[in-house]
Amino acid sequence: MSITRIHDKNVAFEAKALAAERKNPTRLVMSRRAVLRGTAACVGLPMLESLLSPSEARAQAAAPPQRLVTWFIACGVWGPSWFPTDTGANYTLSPTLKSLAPVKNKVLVFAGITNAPCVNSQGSHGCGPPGMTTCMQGTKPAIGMGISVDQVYAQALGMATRIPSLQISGTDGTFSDVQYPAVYNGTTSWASTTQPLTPIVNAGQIFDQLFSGVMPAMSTSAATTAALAKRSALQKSVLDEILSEATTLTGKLGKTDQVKVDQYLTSVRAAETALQQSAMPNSCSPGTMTKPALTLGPDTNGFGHKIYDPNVYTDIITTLMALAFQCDATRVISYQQMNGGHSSYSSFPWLTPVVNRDHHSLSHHNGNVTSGLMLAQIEAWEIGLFSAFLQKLDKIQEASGTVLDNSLIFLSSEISDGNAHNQGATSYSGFAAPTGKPILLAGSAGNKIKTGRHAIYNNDPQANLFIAMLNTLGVPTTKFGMNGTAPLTGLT
Amino acid sequence: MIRANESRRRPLSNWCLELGLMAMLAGACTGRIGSSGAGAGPASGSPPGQSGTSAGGSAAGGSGSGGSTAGGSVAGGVMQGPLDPGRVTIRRLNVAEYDNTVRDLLGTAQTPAASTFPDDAPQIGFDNNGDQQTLSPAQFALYQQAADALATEAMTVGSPQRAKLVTCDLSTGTACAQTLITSFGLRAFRRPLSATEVSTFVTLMATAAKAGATTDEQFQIVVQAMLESPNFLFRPEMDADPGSLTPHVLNPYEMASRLSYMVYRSMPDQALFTAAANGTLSQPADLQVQIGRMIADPKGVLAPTFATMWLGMGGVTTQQFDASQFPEFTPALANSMNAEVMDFFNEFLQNNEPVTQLLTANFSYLDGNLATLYGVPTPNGSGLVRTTLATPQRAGLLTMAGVLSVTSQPTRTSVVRRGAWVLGQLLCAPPPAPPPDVPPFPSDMVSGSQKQILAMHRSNPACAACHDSMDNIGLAMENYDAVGAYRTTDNGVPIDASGMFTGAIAEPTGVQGPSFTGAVQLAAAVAADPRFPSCVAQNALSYSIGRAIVPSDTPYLNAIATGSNGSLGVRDVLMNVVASDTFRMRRGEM
Repeated sequence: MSITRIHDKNVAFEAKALAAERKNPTRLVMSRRAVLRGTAACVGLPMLESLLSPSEARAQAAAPPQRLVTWFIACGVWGPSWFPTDTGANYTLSPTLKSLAPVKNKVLVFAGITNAPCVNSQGSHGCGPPGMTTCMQGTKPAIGMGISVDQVYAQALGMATRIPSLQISGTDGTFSDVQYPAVYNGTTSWASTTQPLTPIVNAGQIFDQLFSGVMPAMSTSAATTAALAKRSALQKSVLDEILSEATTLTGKLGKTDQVKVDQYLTSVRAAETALQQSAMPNSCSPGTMTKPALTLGPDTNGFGHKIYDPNVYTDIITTLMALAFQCDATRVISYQQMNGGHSSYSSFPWLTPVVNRDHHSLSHHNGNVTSGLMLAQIEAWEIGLFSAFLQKLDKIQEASGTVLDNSLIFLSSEISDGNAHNQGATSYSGFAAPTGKPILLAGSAGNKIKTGRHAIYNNDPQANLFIAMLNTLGVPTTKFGMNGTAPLTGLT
Repeated sequence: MIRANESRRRPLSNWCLELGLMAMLAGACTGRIGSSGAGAGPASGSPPGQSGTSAGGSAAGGSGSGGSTAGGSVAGGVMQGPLDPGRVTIRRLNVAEYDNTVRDLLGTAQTPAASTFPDDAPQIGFDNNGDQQTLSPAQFALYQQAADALATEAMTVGSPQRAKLVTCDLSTGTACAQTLITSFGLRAFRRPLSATEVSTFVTLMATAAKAGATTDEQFQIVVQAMLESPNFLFRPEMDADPGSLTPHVLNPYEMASRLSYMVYRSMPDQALFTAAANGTLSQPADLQVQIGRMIADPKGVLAPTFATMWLGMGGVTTQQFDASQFPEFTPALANSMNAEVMDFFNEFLQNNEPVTQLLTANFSYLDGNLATLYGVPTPNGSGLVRTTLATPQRAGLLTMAGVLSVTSQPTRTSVVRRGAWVLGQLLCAPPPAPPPDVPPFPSDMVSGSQKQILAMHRSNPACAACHDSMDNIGLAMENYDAVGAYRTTDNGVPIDASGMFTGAIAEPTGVQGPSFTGAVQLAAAVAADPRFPSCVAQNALSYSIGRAIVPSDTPYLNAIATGSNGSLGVRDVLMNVVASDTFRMRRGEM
């Protein structure tokens, strides 16, 4: 069973990390509690270097960590406003991408890339979100996707960081499009073909994970080290008990039921790991940030739809993401701002002029330019949020370059164009420039990618871009998804 | 990679894309029920029926009362050989079930699932379909958090939760702990614990004691562990041999849970535990006694749960309309639309009124908001009031604003969605998924009435195959605008609401027609079609057992859709479901 194998690998990595720690007790100089006590006095960004032990700081100077982000936007794009009309290093930012100006030289804009799965009625909105990150066509009705690019990297990193990877979404609303399992629509991270990693929506939960301890049950206050140790031991006893129950149970079940209980076993083992890690040093501090307590809204359609104010939410989430990278709590994050159905925004009162159409319906523009320009307004706003995230990363200076420089940030959508529901080039009346899957790649993983360009490809598979990205991140890869067979060339 | 049914797809126009979203708002039987008539359909659910290849003997036909499926030959000749009650994939408690279960188990007012767990969106069919459920580390962390908080509350000195849970003095020794583990374990796992399991939890307490836990804390850890246990979070049903296809009757505790989660969406109540212990949950008649009692119980949520998912009404309060065109569509009106359908369906369930009258009844439940929308006098009384409809424009579910709204687009009606809704939700004969590579809809086809546009659209023979069926139904509903108000023109063009059963929907019968004008006549035609009660049966069975319908269910469905004395009431359908071997039995898989 592949899940078990993945897990076992994690355990091996974990054992190695713990052994390394025993050999190098200086890593334990600052206990997690001490960090939390100390941070009361710490204010603002950046705070990382002051908390690093000298050896850690030296290690970091030698090789800053490489991070990977996948960032999903829904419903494709209006091509004429998205794709630049000139190419190369001196290209002009398109109307939709204008807000990238402050980081233009650190972003690579693609045209001519195509993805294979989830075309038209193969479930664009249903299987498209994981299709974007796995380059696989999901199965139905039985759940089966592929491993996503972020999880390939996370599994290669193993236990290098306290949190192996984070999955975050602006909505927990999912839907079943053309009978694809609803979980596809809300999940871009897949640890294996049958293990979706459903994202966390609650910003407060992410805050706790980063700053108070990985395991939620551990986040309640324990006044002393002894109390913390006792609590940890009790939680461990619970996990031992239920792991044993699940093992007994799964031995009595048929194969289909076993797949379901395997997901449970994987999750309990992840909780065990998290519990052990919660005793590890935690050099993460929220700085001036307090635990977010967001309420749902704005209630733009008047029906209490479960959506946070996307402007406030994305600002908080990207700050948390930047902090997580800064203190090396994790190196892998997937972010799904929204999905292309029920939870797509129904109106955009914060835009000028106001767009009072729901995103999904609008994206079926039938070639109508008025609709297209409204879509472009929405997309420009989304790119503005993305740009703000990149700028946050770019403000965090590391020993070598900025966090943005030492990352690969991939942005795309489940489809190319909302009307055509396609995965490649789209023709628009009166627009001659090359189109394709809308893809941005920001950061250079330590100057390994030549950014600041608009690069035109000739129907090259997106899976090949992932192969190139994984190789750049130090994960030797030769195949990916349905049709990835070689690294995309021309990136360096 | 699966490309189900590709060969049956025909190129259609871009309008087919509307159907993609139909699946969102009306998942109940879209895309799978077609399978029962035409072999393996595009999405035939859990491992396809092993019909005709079952190695096992004949399912023990429930020969008792109440229309239980009898073994033997099958009317209509659909199946030969032994009957196969099928196999249900292990189900995890969904959001509603989790919160209801901890409420009944602990007496808590906490609702951790609704507050923090990921939504169980309407999936393929219903939200309790085990095949479609997943579990991930992030979700398990939420289970841990919830269990910790619930166990802490349950052991808080002086709390009513503790009084309910701790019924002996834990400080007196192991005997009390064993008593509590046994009694709480029975209710948490919804079955008696084995002696080994009890001793495991006693050992857990000893382990906790070694870590410095007080007696109270030791038992709190037991409660927390049980709430994180797979035996609590899942509903396991065991086969003596998971590799055997021979059907067997569920054990009494598994049966109690099936009944309980079907009607209460929660753990079994005391009466069910008692019946399970006494062995009085084995015969179809036993189950019917229980379900009759439970449907009448105020705790029962069968009517709103089933009606919401079957009819796709979950979308009513999240539906989006252009406010400038439909200013009357307020949250209050949307809530009234939803309540109308729920109250109406609940009356049918409670009073066992005929299934066919769901579509033909001349009464409904209205308040001022709905009365204004329908152009009828506001009824006296507060809330929604049972009202005889003083208008020939309305009858039954099909003309209810909730149904008309969830099948519309934000700016207009959707003939295609409405047609597909009738075919999918009421006749269980949904149109196939639109094909790939749909060409863009020509821009010269965007003015005029829906009827004119669709006529041009169907002039393409490739489109006509499916759209003849859908459009001729949806057009008959054009006298109701996107939010369900009556109208006589569309874009200034007088509405011609004539239609008929034609195209794919008429194929199995070989007869074009019947013809109808307007939704009221359409509803009567659907009510008279034998596929309608069968479709109600398919949805009821799918919800009740938590899996998609497969071809081998057909003989059971025939029995479920058979009433007594020539009339099939809504409660009869549910009574027939629980008496059916598909409900009472299961098997393993190869």
